Amino acid sequence: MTDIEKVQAVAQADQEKYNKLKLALERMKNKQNKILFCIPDIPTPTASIYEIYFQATVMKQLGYNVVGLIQNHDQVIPAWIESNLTDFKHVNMEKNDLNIGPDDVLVIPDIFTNIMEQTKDLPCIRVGLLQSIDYMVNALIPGMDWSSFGVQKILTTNNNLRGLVEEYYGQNKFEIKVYKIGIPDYFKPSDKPQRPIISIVGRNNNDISKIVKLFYAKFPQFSWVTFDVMLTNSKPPLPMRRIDFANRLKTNFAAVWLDRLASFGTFPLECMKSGVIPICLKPDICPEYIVEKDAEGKIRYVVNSGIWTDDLYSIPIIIGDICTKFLDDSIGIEIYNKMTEIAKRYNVENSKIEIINAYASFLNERQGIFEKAITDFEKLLENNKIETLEENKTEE
Amino acid sequence: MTSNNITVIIPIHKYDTGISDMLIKALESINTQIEIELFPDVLIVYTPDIETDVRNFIKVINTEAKYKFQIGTMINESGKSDFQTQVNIGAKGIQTGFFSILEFDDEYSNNYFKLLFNYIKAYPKVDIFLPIMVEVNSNNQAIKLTNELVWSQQFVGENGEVGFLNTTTLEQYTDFKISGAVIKTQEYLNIGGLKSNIKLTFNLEFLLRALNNAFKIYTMPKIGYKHLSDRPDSLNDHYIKTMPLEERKYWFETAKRESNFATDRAIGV
Repeated sequence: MTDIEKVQAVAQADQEKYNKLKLALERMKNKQNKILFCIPDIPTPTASIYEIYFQATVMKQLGYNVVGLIQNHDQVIPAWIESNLTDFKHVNMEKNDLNIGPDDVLVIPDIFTNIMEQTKDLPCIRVGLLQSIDYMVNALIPGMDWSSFGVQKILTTNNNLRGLVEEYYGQNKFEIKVYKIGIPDYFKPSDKPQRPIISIVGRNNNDISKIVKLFYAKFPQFSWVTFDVMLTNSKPPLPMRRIDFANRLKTNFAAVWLDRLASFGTFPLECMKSGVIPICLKPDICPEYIVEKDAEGKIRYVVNSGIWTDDLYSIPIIIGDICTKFLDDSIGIEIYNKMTEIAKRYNVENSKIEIINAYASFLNERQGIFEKAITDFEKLLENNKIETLEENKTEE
Repeated sequence: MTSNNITVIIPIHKYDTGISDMLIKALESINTQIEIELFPDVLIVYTPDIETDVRNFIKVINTEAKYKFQIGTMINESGKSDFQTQVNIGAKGIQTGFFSILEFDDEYSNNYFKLLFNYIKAYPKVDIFLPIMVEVNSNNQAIKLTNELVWSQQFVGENGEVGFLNTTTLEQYTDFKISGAVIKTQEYLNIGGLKSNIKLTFNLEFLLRALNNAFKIYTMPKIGYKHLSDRPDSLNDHYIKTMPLEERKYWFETAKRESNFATDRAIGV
C-alpha cells in the first residue's frame, strides 16, 4: 500500500467513525436507541423486580426502545406485576444476536455481577442498579468493586445505599443517581372497617412461624386472631398480583415485617399508604423514612411511623398490645396521619420524574460526548481535506 | 333530641336498690357515648309488679340526670316475666329500624354507637351486628370474650367468610350471645323474635333460626359490651345452680330442633 493509499484508508476509517457517531447521535435524539434491562429470574414477588419493570415502563412511555433481557429461555414474565408494566420485548440474554451500540443503555441489577464482568467491553452506557447492598457485596471478591468491571454509573433507590457505596468504595468513584420509589395508588385505605387479621411477611419462614407461635402462647385469649401470609387462597397458595396484594393488605388492621437484610423497606411503606399499622423488625439499614434530623441536627426516629423494634422476641408482645388497642378502638389518629404523610413522599408521579431525570443525565452525558467527538472529527476531516488540496496543488 | 333510628331495650322484672344502681350505670353507658350527634332512644320494659318502683325511678332520674336521650317505658302485661318475652314486647312497641338489648346489669363501651354507625354504613345488608362482649365477674375482672370466634377461619370453616356467623361456627361453639347486639327490628319480628319456651339456649335457638332465614350476622371486631356474668340471682346463675347436666344437654338439642320452626312451640322437659 502506498502512502497515499494509507492516508486515504485512514481518512475513510475516520469518515466511517464519523458516520457511525452521527448515526448514533441521531438515534439518541430520536429515541431509537435501546434501553436494555437485565431481569433476574426470581419467581417470588419482590420490590426490586417490580422496580426494574417500573423503570422500563417509564422509559418505554417516553418513547425509548425498551428491551428486557431475561436469564433463561423458560423464564416466566412475572404475573404478579400489572400486565401494562411488562408489556415490552423480552429477549434471552444468552442469545448473541442482540446488537448493542454506544448509544444504548444496559441496566444491570446488583445481583448480576457476572453480567457486569461479561459486558465490560460493550460500548454502551452501563448502569449498575443498586437496590440491595447484600447482593452487591456478596458477589464481589475482596478488593473489587463494580468499577473493576467498568461500571461507573449507579442508579439506586435510596440515600442510605449511596452513603454506603461512598463510605466503603470512595467518594466520587461512581456517578450515583438516587430516585425515590413510588408506591402505586392502588395501595389505599379500605372503605370498610379493617379486620382483626394481621398480615405477616418476611424473608425467613422460621421467623414468621416463631412469631405466630409465641404470640398464641402468650395471648391464648387472642387464639382467634388470624395471621395472613399474603398468598392466594388457591391450592397450593401462590404469590398474589401486586394489585390483589394491595386489596388484601388494606383489609387487615396491622402487618408484621421481618427482614433484617432489606436495603430499603417497601412493604412498610405499602402498609402506611394503606392505613395498616406496620410492626417491623428494624433492618440492618434503617429505612430513611423512619429517621429524621431534629432542630439540633441530631438523627432521631420519626414518631408514629409504625412500630419498629430491634428485638424479634418483643414482636409477639407488641402484636398483643396492638390487638388490645384495636379491639378497644384506641389506636391514635396521629399514627395514621403520620403514616399518610410519609407515604405521600413516595408517590408514583415523583418517582417517574426522578427516574426520567436520572436516565436523562446518563443519556445527555453520552450525547455530549458524541457531539464533541463529532465536532472533533469534523475539524479533523476539514483539516484532512485542506491538506489533501494543498498536496494536490503541490503535485500540480 | 332526636333518635338515631335505634332503640335500646332494657328489660326488668325485679327492682331493688342494687338493680337501681346497676340500671343507672347501664343508662350512663349510653349517656357517655362519644363522637355521636344522635343518641339512641331507650325503652324500659317492665312487669306490672314493679310499676311503682319503675315510675319512681324514672321520675328521679329525669329530675337528677341530664340524659342525652329519651327514656320511654312499656309495661309487660303478658303475664310472663322472662327475658325473651320482655324483649319481644319491646321490639313490637318501637318505631326505629334497629334495636339493641341492654341487660340492666351490663354496659356498652363508650364508643360503641360511634363504631356501630360505621359498620351499619359499611355493611347495610347485615341484619344483626354482634359486639365482641367482654364478660366480667362481680369484681369487674375480665373473664373471657364472647362472639369473637367468627374471626377465626378455623371456626367459620373453609367456605365461610370470617366475621360472619354461620351454622358451622355455631355447631362447634354455641356460646354466642345477643345482648348488646343491634338487630333490624322488622327482620326480628318477621322470624318471631326470641322464644320464651326455650330456656338456657334461647340465644342459640334464635341465632340458628335467624341463619335458617338467611340472616346476615356479623361480629363487629371491637369490644362493645361488658356483660356481668356471675351476678347472684341472674338467670344464668339460676341455671348454673339448679339445672342438671342432662337437662342442659336437652336444651342444646332442643334449640337445634326448634330452630327449624317459626313458632314458639310448647316444650315438655
